[in-house]
Order: sequence, then structure tokens, then C-alpha cells
Amino acid sequence: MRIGCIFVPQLALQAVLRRSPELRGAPVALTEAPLGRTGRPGRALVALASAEARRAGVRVGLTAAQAAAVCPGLTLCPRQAADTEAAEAALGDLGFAFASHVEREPGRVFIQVDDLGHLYPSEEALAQVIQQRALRMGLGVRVAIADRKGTARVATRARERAVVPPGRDAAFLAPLPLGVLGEPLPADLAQAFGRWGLGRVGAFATLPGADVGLRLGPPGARLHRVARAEDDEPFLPALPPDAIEEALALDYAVVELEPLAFVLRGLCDRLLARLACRSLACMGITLRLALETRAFDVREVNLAAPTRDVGPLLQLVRLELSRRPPDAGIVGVLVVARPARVRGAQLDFLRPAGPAPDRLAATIAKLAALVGPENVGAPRAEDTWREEAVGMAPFAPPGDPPASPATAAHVMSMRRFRPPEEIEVMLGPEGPAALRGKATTARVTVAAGPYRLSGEWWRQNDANDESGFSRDYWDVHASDGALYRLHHDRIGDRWYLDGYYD
Amino acid sequence: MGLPLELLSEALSAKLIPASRLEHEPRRARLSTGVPALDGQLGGGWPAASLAELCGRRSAGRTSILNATLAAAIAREQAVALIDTAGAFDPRSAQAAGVALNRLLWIRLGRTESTTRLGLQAADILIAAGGFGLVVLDFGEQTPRAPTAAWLRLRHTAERQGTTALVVALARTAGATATTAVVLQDARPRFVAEGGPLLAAMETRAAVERALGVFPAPANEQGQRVSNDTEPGAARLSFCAQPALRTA
Repeated sequence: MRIGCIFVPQLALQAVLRRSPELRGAPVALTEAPLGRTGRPGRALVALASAEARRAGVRVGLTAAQAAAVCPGLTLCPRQAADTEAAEAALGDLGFAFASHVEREPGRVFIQVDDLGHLYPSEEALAQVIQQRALRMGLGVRVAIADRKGTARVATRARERAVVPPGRDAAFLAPLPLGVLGEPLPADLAQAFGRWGLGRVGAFATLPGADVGLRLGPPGARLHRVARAEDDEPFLPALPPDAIEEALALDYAVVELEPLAFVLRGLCDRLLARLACRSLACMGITLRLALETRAFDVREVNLAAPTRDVGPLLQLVRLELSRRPPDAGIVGVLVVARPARVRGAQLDFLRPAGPAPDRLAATIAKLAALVGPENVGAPRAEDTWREEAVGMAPFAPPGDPPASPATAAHVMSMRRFRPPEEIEVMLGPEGPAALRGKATTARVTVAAGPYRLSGEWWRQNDANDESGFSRDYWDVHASDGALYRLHHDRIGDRWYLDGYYD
Repeated sequence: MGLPLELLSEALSAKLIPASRLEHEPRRARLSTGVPALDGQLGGGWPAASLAELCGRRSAGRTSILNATLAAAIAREQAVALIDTAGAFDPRSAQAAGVALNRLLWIRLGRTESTTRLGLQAADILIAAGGFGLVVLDFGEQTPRAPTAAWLRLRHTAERQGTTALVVALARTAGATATTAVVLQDARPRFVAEGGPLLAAMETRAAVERALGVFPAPANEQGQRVSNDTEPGAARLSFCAQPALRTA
């Protein structure tokens, strides 16, 4: 079995750089404050430092003040569990982007690569593609492919990218320094190796296994098996997690929408990149905002169709937050994606090519973000005698051809005022003689009607505002040249302009 | 050693065609308006993959032509969308005109302050997505004010994606960027007497103010084509009332 190992060196630091990509290339140090004797956090100490910071003299264990003095341009970031967890999850998604069998352990994943030979010209090319994909997700990874898990793990400690040919694990390990067998090597074992004058893995592998186990105990025996490429550590794949989420704890409370939108863009970007890794799209998100008041504000944002485009998603989140702003400043954000599978559809060869289903879904999502989800869809005539009633249904055109061709008869259509405009009407012997409204004032030249329409009388005593209606409709030709349709509400004794024939 | 100019001219004359003798632009595919009389004026309908305008005041007949166009496009299995900036679309009369409502993508903007901008943005998103045969941008009673660049962008996107973008407004607004412009005028209703007056039909006059590339350009005395831009024409159209709306 061929096993690939993907390892993220300095995961906690890379998690910060993934969250804040603008810090890449700058000296950055990760600090953590160990708990003191009283149980309170002590002084912040440097836990990890980027290569740039290390070149400037920053070392692990320095206090934040000392590190800042050594390297004036240093950016100090406190270690956040949410960042590391998100980076770990992203690493898992990276594994699932390439293989269906993935085993996870802190800072690295193992994937079974036997069946990937059909997709990539060589294992070297596969390793290269994994590294490129990881970079797009904001992670710099090391990749090794070998026959055994132990060898692949050790190889990622020694090389940026390593492909160990089949059956050559022991030969690959032999020239490596003994330090790569552990992360780091236990102090007692390192001392023992020093006393014995051992420097290379190959030298350690030549020692008799039984004697090594007797002198160094089980940890030493296990390392010895790894060094001889005889380890029997099983490959234990796990299912991908159902929830795909990204979280961020903010340094200070955010009370305005714009800074929050900036934070959300980064979170959504990373979330969608992870979904894309698993060939999924986003159907909506759950937004959990941690407030200053220690309360949580949870919002559901639904998309009209699955998408991998961050624009519409962000636009809908902004709409939701501006419609109902949170009660207090926000100190933490958690975004959980609702994944959905996008399926391709086979188009008909003999019919005009319509919009591709996945692009149509993305387009509807964009439009919904622009004008509101309730304003995009297919019109629906409601089952009522109220002429102005209109509904909106999700746009899902049927696959079969239209039932009948266009009618040859050309009928007049109406253009409606929504809501109907209340007007004053001067009545003559033949019906309406003049109209006066906010935007319409005209003399009536011909009036046809009345056409009485009533219904929904059973709603007269309804608890809600809906009630029955009884109306007299008129078609009138006015002096402004328009052909209006208006009605007299017989219950409320008011006149309304419904629209005009056009 | 150079060739004499006369000889060069003779040698090239067989290969070169003067601009005056160039063939007319090949006819574009057409999207029927659903009204044969208007189709006749437009050389078969709205030009496909272009920007067209349909203008007129209240009750001039724009919506009737619009619904007929939507019905015709749907009958030909085209994907159609309507951007309704005023929220004035009436599904019942559209259905009566033959529009299959479940095949129409309706985007209503309602009463917002920036309907022109939003409408153009929505049209751009729809057309750029590709696959739509007809996208209608209905400004209702407005004459939208947008920079020429916005109309040019819309036209170029429509040309690229093979979509007919139809702008419905009170008056012409896209100017020279529109390939076709139809203005409706002199509309009058027809009432019949059946006990009292009864609305029977509406007649209107559709004037084709611009139809780029539709008609063969006229030639002058020397046989040179002088223009191929417009050939003004007009048609009288008639639309009958819907019996469903007359409830006695």
C-alpha cells in the first residue's frame, strides 16, 4: 500500500497566516501566556516565529517585549485555538480533495494514494499538485509518499517533498540524521544515542532489535522498527466531518457592518475553498456571533441555489445584518456552511441551449443577493378572484417542451400599480366622469362597467387583516389618452386605480 | 526595380473590391415579436444578439407587445427573463397572452431609489451568465438615465452571449447603441355598445425608428449604397380585450 503524508510545519503559525494573508513575508511571532501559580495568565512568551522573525533574532521563549525589541517590525499574534482548529480542518479537506481514505492526526494527514496513479503521471507530480493546492488554501505543506506510514511521517520531517520508491524505505531512511525519528526526539533517547555514538538512522537500524528494546524500552523499540522500515502501524481512515466551519475570535468588539463584512469575507472565502476541495457548494450558512454581553446572535442565511461564489453569499449576509443589526458589539464569529452537491445536467442536442444548470443557480443566487431573495423567481397567478394577487415561485423551468405554441390571438395586457393607488372619482350619470390621484388627474371620456366582483366573504370575521371583498370594476378611457382599470371598494366606499391597459 | 503605378493598379483591381460594392451585412437571426405585422416591419422580429428598444406612453401597447414577445420566445424554447423595475408585471394578463409563467424568470425591483442602476446590473448578470435568448429590461414609465458606456456594455455582452436585450421605457434612451427602436403612438381604444359601452380592443401604431441592418440600403444614381441604418416604417397593430377581465 502506498501512503502519502501531508504535513503542515508550524501549524499554529500557518493558521494565523492563513487568516491574515497580508502578514506573509513579514516577521511574525506567535505568543502564548502560560498560566502562572495563581492560575492567571503570566507574561506572553514567543511560542513560534516565522523564518523572517528568526532571521532577525527572535527566538522561542523570549517575552513579547524582548522579541519586539530584537525585531522592531515584528507582528505579535496571540495563539487562538479557533485558528488552529480551522487550519486542521482545512488540512483534512485537502486530504479529501485527493483521496477518499484519509487518516488525520495533529498537524498532518495520511492519504492512500494507490489508486491515484491513473490521474497523475507520477507520484512526484501528485506530490507537487498537493503542495500547489495547499498553497491556494493558504497552507504551506510538506508531502511524502512511501510504503509505510512511519517512513512517510519521517520523510516529511526531513524533506519538503519526498517520494520514496516502492521497497526502498529503509534505504531512504538510512542516511537521515537520528533527530528526524521524533518530533522532537525524547531527551532520554537522544542522550542514549549520543552515548552510543550514533548519528544516522542507518546506524541505529543495524543494531539488534531485541537488545534495543531491552535497553530503550517500548519507545526505543518502536523507533527501531521505523528505522528498519518494519513498522506495522495500521492505516485508519476516518469519515470527513459533516460540519464545515470557520471561526474567528476578534481582538476588540466590532460594532459596525463594514469591518464585520471584511472579517466575514475572509471566513467565507476559506469556507468556500474547503467546500470546493470536497467538490461541494454552499447552500447557505449559519452565522453565530458572540456578543460583548456574552450572548450569542445566531442567523440563518439561505441561498436560492448552491454556489461557490463568495459575492452573493456575502451580499445576503450583509442584507441580513443591516436588516436586523446585532444588539451589542461582536467579539467572535463562527460560520458553519450547509454543503450541497452540484450535479451536472445533460442538455438536449435538438433543443436550444439554455443556461447551464449550475451557472443558472449561481446567477439566481447573485440576483437574489442584489434585489432580495423574495424578488427573484417565476411569477405565479394565485388561486383567488382578487385580480392584483401575485405570487413568486422558485424558478425551475420544466425539462419538457412547452405544452402549446404561442396563441395567435393578440390580447391586451395590463400594467398594474402595486399597491393600487387610491383616487378620488367624480361620478356622472354614466359612471366615473373624472379621476384625481397623486399622479393621475384626468377627465373620463368613455367608461365601461361596472363589473361586479366579490368573494372571500368567509374571511369577514378572520382574526387577521384579511377580509372579503366586493368591488365594482370599470374600464375607462381618460383624457390623458390612457385606458385605466379602476374599482370601487363597496365595503370601504373608496376608489382605487388598479393599473392601465398597455 | 519598381512596377509602374498603372500596372500595379490593374494587377490589384481584380483582387480588391471597392467599399461601395461590398455586400450588405449578412442578415441576423430574428426573434419574433409575436405580432406578425410588427415582425414584417422588423424583417422577422427583434434582431438576435443585440440591444433593442420598445417605447411608448401609457396605454400605447408596449406591455401587449412585450407579453407577445415573451410568449413567442418561450414557445421556441428560449430561456427568457424579465427585469421589472416598477413591479408592474401582471401574471394574469401575461398568462392570457400565452406566456408560460413557470418558464419566465421574473426579477422585480419594486420601489427603490436606484432602479436604473439595479436594473442594468441585473441585466448584466443575467446576460453574462449566458444561455438566455431574451432578457427584457422593463423601466415602465421611466426614461432611465444611464451613461452611454452602460448601454454599450449591455449591447456588447448581449452580442457576445447571443441574447436579445429588449429595453422597454417611456422614451428612447439607448440612442445609437440600440440596433432596433420601435416607438408606439396614436393608440386608441375601441368600445362596442352592448347595452352600454364595452371595451373590445386597442389599436396602436408601431413606428420603427431604427432598424440597423434590416433593410437593403438604397442606392444612388451611381449605384453606390448610401446608408443602411434605418428605413422608417410603421404598422397598425390591434389587441383584443381579455374576456376574463370583464366580469359581469
